[in-house]
Amino acid sequence: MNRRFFLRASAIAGGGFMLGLYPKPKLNAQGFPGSNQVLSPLDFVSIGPDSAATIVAKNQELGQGALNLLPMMVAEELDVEWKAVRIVRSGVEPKYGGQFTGGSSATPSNWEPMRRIGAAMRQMLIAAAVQTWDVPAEECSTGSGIVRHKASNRSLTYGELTSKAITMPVPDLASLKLKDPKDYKIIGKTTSGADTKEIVTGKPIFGIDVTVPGMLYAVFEKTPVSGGQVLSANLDAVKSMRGVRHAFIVEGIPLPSSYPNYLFDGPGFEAGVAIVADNWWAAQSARRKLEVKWDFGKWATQDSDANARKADELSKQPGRTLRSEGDAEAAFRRDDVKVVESPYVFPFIAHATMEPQNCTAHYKDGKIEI
Amino acid sequence: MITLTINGKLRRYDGDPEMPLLWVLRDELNLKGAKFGCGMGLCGACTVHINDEPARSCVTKASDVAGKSVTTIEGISADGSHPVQVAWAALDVPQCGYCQAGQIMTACALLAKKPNPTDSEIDNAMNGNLCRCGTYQRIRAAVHRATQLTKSSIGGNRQGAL
Repeated sequence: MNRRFFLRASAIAGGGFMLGLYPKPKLNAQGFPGSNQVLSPLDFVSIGPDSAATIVAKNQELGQGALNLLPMMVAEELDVEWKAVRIVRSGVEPKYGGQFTGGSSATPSNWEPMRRIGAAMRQMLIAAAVQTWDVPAEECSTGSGIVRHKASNRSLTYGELTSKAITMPVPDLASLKLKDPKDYKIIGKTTSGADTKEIVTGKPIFGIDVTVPGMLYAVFEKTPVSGGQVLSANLDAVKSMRGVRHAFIVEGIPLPSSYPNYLFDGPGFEAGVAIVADNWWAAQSARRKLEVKWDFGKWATQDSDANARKADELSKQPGRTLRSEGDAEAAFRRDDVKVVESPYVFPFIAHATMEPQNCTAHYKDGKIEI
Repeated sequence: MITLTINGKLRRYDGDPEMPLLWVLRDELNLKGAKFGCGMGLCGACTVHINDEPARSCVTKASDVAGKSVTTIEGISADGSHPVQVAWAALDVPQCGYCQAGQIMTACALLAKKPNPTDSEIDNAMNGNLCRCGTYQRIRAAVHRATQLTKSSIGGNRQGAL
């Protein structure tokens, strides 16, 4: 799976999301390696009678511009003007393919599929014009949301063609010819953030802003040491506090032993105590009164100094090549190159995102939507 | 029972008086603009105005705002027409956006007091609002842009315009 592929690569690169340290993606427009999934332009693009193009942004925005960038790729090959584009966020659904943003992967992994989505929709619009005019497709050209037939001096807007275009056969995405980059009108240009207006007016667009009817708020006191377990906790005292509905011990599910597998071989689950209350403040206040007796488990004696010593020891052994480009050894030998050598140590720390980790789970009709 | 004014409207709150204003706004009144970042008054994501002064709502008890007037990002203008919002959008300041409501509230309060701030006055005023994406250069430029957009005093008591 694409998503796992990148998570694994990022993990090997030191647990951080590091630029350019994953193998080059080998993806095609027919979904992702190892899957039979076919992406459809009809799931990503809809064109209104006014020729405005609504393009689905399938990846999450984390501050680097994925919300704009993927629709820009689609719009470029669709051959519309950027001002005619409206971006909408997608839900999480298999039909959108991989939807993972992180590890600098959203752009390279979607670079080809998203352009092919736009090109496919463009081809369907041309097919609709060909059928209307009864002319060869090769004689038709597009630009700024219009299909033109120069020989007969005719043109139709995408808006005029859209209802017929969506009934045309979806072309084989892999066979489509893409633009020469020198002809790009949108890619490479600065566009303003699709969510800027929502942000400056304080709209509830973040995970932490989600509400559902009758929602309760939970906090989770997690074992301070990975793999630890709860021996006991003063649950009755916590439950008696104002606004608290439930308090219970969550038993851990063992974590895979080797580190990269931690991310994708059944993630396991850390043990702890969950407190559920009418509002976050009540849950958090109860957490301050929580007393837990822990069994810290087998990693209790791990410490950062020992890890650093181990890293130093391992760094002296031959490494594994993840990606190789150019000839670094030859560059080091050049006379005009100054070689600087120094050990760099990165501590085991959190990413320190400003939005605290959170998640909303909605139980409805026997299913949980997350 | 606590009575206070939020974005020009009289509101009543009869929950835990110890609950910080941030959670009264977010969980009780469904005003999600002010953000929860650190919960310790260190990051500025929760900044609102209390009697026109910027304040960290995550460490301000509900009981401390009784009888006071609170303005949140939703209250400066719902359609983004406040000069600071206009400047922010024009310069495309936000990246992830999580800190930006707090940034904007601090900037509004600054401009209400100093309609034409220098770079160092901007930096001093905005100093306590952290941005994990590092949009500080555009924030400073947007404060200057907001100054250009309105030569008259903004912020201050805008309640009449709400």
